Order: sequence, then C-alpha cells, then structure tokens
Amino acid sequence: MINDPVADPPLRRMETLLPAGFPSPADDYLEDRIDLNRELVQNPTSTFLARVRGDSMRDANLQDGDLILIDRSQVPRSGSMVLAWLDGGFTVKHLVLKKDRALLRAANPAYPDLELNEEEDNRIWGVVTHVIHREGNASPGKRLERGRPRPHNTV
Amino acid sequence: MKALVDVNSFYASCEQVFRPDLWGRPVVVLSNNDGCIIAANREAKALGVPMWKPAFQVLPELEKHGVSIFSSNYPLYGDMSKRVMETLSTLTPALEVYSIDEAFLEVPETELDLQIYGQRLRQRVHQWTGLPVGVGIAPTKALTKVASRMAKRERERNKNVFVIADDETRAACLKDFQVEDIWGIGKRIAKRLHERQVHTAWDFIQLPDVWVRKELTVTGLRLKRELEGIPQLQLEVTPPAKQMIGTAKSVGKNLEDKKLIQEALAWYVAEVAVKLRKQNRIAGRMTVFLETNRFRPEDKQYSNQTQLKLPVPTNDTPALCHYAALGFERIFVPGYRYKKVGIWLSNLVVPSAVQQNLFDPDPQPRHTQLMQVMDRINTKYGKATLRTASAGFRREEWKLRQQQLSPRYTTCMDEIMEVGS
Repeated sequence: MINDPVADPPLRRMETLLPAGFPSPADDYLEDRIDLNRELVQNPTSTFLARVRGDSMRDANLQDGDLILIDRSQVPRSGSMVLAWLDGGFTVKHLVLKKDRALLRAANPAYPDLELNEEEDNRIWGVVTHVIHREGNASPGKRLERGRPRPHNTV
Repeated sequence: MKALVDVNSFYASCEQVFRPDLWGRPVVVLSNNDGCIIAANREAKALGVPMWKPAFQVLPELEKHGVSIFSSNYPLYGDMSKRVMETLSTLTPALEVYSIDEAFLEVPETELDLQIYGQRLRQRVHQWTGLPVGVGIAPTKALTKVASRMAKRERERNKNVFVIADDETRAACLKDFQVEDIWGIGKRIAKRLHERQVHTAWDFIQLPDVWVRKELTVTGLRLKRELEGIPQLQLEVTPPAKQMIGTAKSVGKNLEDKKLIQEALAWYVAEVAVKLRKQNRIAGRMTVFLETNRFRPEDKQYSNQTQLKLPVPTNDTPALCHYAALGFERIFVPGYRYKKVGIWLSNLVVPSAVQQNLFDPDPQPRHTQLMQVMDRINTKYGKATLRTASAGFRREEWKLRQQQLSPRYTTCMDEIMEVGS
C-alpha cells in the first residue's frame, strides 16, 4: 500500500551520479538509505492508514488531522490504542480490559469512558501502531520534486 | 492435499471492510459505468437481487429495501486481493492465484488436522484483511472446488471449511453434486451428459474412460481422474504470461459524435499501452471494436470489430493509437448512438524476441525513451497527465459514470479512512 517500488525506486546508486575525477572513498561502503516503510510498518499486508478527526486523544499525543497506522494483525491488549467501531462511527481510544468488561478510554478528561459490550467486542478494527503528526509550520509531508541531482550535492 | 480459498462475495466484502455500518447488511456492486449489478452479497441475494440486470431497472427497488449500492472500485479490490494472497502465502509453501478472489494452496505436510488448518487460514485472512473466506480441502484441484461448494452450502454447520479426505466423504459429496457444477464442465456438455442420464458428479465418474476420452477429450478424462481423487493438475505457481490484453469499456453516454468516440478510444488505447509496457510485452495484433447500447432496444443497433496485423509489434502509445484509428475508420458508421469502444491486443511477445521489418524500420529506440518518460511523468502526476493529442480534452463528456464510488482507501492518500477520536 505504502511502498510502490515500481513508481519510485528508493535507492539510487550514487556512483552513477559522480563526475569523472576521483572515485568516492565511500563507494565500497554504500548502504541503503533508511526506509520509513520498513521501520514503521511491521506487516504491510495488514497495515492501513487513516486520518484522525477530533481531540479525545489529545493527551496521548494524537491531534486532530494526524495520520495513524493501524495494524490489524496485532492483538489488542489492555492499554493498546485501538481503532474501534462504536455507535455508528470509527473512534480511536485506549482499550482498557477489566476482569469482566472492556472499556474504551479517551486521553482527554472531557470524555467519559465508553463501554464495549459483548456484542461489540469483535468490533475493534485494528491496533494503532504509530501516530504521524506534522509539526506546525513545516511544509506538507508530500515528497519533494526531485530534479536532476547536482553532483556537488551528492558526495 | 490441496486447498481452495475464496473470498465470500469479494467485491461487496471489500466495501464492507471499511464500512462496519454495513456488516450483515445487503450490498451490491455495479459494473463499470454503473451498467448492471455484477456482485451481490448473501444478504442481497436473499432479497432476490437479480444479477446482470440493467441497473436502472432495479435500483429504485433496491433502495427501497435498504440495499447499499456501490460502483466498482477496482483499485480497492485489486489491493485487497493482493493482501489476501500475501496473507495466504504466510501459511503455505505454494500458492496459485487463480482469480482476483480465489487461490489454490498446497497444504503443508506437517498439518495433521485439516479442519484446523482451514480454520487457521480463515482466521488469519479475516484478522489481517477483514475479509471472510471459505476453504475447500481435498487431494485434487477439482475436488477442492467441490469441497469449497460444500463449505458454502451449509455454512453454519461446516463453519466455512470443508474437507474431503476419505473415500466415503468424497462419494457422498459427488452424489450430491450436479454435473453442471463440476469445474470445467460447460452448459453444453452438461446438457449432453444429462441426456445420457448422467446427473451428478458421481454418475460422471462411473462413465467408462473410453467414452469420456472420446467425447470430452483428454481434458475430460483428466477431470474424471481428479474427481476420483487422483491428482492430475499441479498448482501453477508462476502465472502463465497473458496471451491477450485489452479493454472493453463503455463510455458514459450514448455517443454519436465521431470525434468524441475517437478521443475515448485513444484514451483507452493509452491505458492498455501502459499495461503492456508494465508487463514488458509488445503486441503484434490488434482488434478494434465498437458497439451500440444493447439495453436500449428502442435505438438502432450496430456492432462491429476488425483485426489489424501490426507491421512491427509495438507497445508505443502513438503507434498503437495510429493503428486503432485506422481500425476505427474501417468499422465506424455514422448515425448510431455508440456505447462501447475498445481494443484487444494479442500476439504478445517480449521486445527482444522480435525481428525488425526491413520495409518498416522500427522507430523504437527514441520512442522507447519517450514512453519511459511519459510513464514516469504519469506515475508521478497522475494517469494521463501526459497523453497524445488524439485523446483530447473532453473526457468529462464521455467518461464513465460512477456515481456510487467508494474511496480508494488503500491506494490513494487523499482518500484514506477518516476516523474520529
């Protein structure tokens, strides 16, 4: 879903960009650039993206407009941040497992706990694994246009 | 042992994954251009939703019954299909993707309890993708098809998994299985079999080998063996190269304007050319076709097609557009309201396998580069950002109607799920 190797190869061999002249002493030590897909997405097959609206998880560092990664293959535990279906809508909350019942708890004192009753207990859609928040005045997260690389920038 | 896994009401189920409000409710999916119903889930079928009927005839009735209606969202179904296959491949050493929603699997020899293995497949696919699947397990591919039917037939009791592991179960299933439902037996053959008093799959395997071989060729005999529990067909793990590629698309309105139909055609040709290049193939033959709206009996009807042998096989968009236009001129007759236009490409080969034509030297070297640039630009900035002038600027006037389209939740950043918190 996130990684499209055809559209955009993540790695370009630097050596092809070098001007004639001295070979780079780093050539023998080239490594792949860090790939966030690999770092953040443990199981791409079961991972989905969503955008969050609302402020009920404010104190858990989840703000209105943030992106979340949801992994359906992870087992929700008490304390997990989950995406649940409740009363006709998707909602992100903390799961709290008690002896005899399950609760959805907001991270904002303005919101009461919600009961997750028997019938709805299979309605946890997935476990939230990461929150991606764009910092205030940073430019949008979209990939920048990559022009022809200038040699003096690449070594 | 082999397993056949298929997703229950695949298209409708894909829509439901992202819409828990529709779980357990009737859902139908319309064909391209919202023309007719191509998929309905169990709840919709229970209401008697007629498949393949022109949508405009039945939609009001469906809405009255609270059926949710979706345009077909192939980007979503394609991605969900991939996810299902990837999930399955974590539980099997060999997998054959048989169709968008079906796969044959090799059951690992270490699996002792096949029922439990089937349940594990079901559970994992549902957990990872949200999609419900059925599983048929048996010694041969043809028998897995039978088992898969059985799994659906008594869904509750069989828990969507059915195993044919011994001869008694096999016999009982085959005696309870209509001959026309056998994998690979068409309507025509089924009719002939019924005339010979062969009504069930069990009757079929009682036929003498000689007769089957003579009447149904070696393929029929192979099928008989498979139903007897003797494997004849292996899993095709690497898909065979496509022999044909094309699009048979409707345009959104009934078009009379020749120029406009040509633009739509050029647009579709460009789409096919992209597919062709992605698969690293060039085509040697092209079929162009044109059709009026079959569902409007009050209109004058016309349909035609023509074949062109390309002087040099190619995957170059301008060249393919050129030949498509030639073919189009041959079959276009003014005065009709056209609904469908498209091309098929065949004689597909890898580019290196082609001899150059002395009299029509190939302009490829430069064009290959041009196409690479075009594909790169279009991948980055969106489909058909860069296109041939013949595709025009009036897509709004002919494009497909897709009024009930759901978001491309998994393939388009601007259309991902929105959730509350």
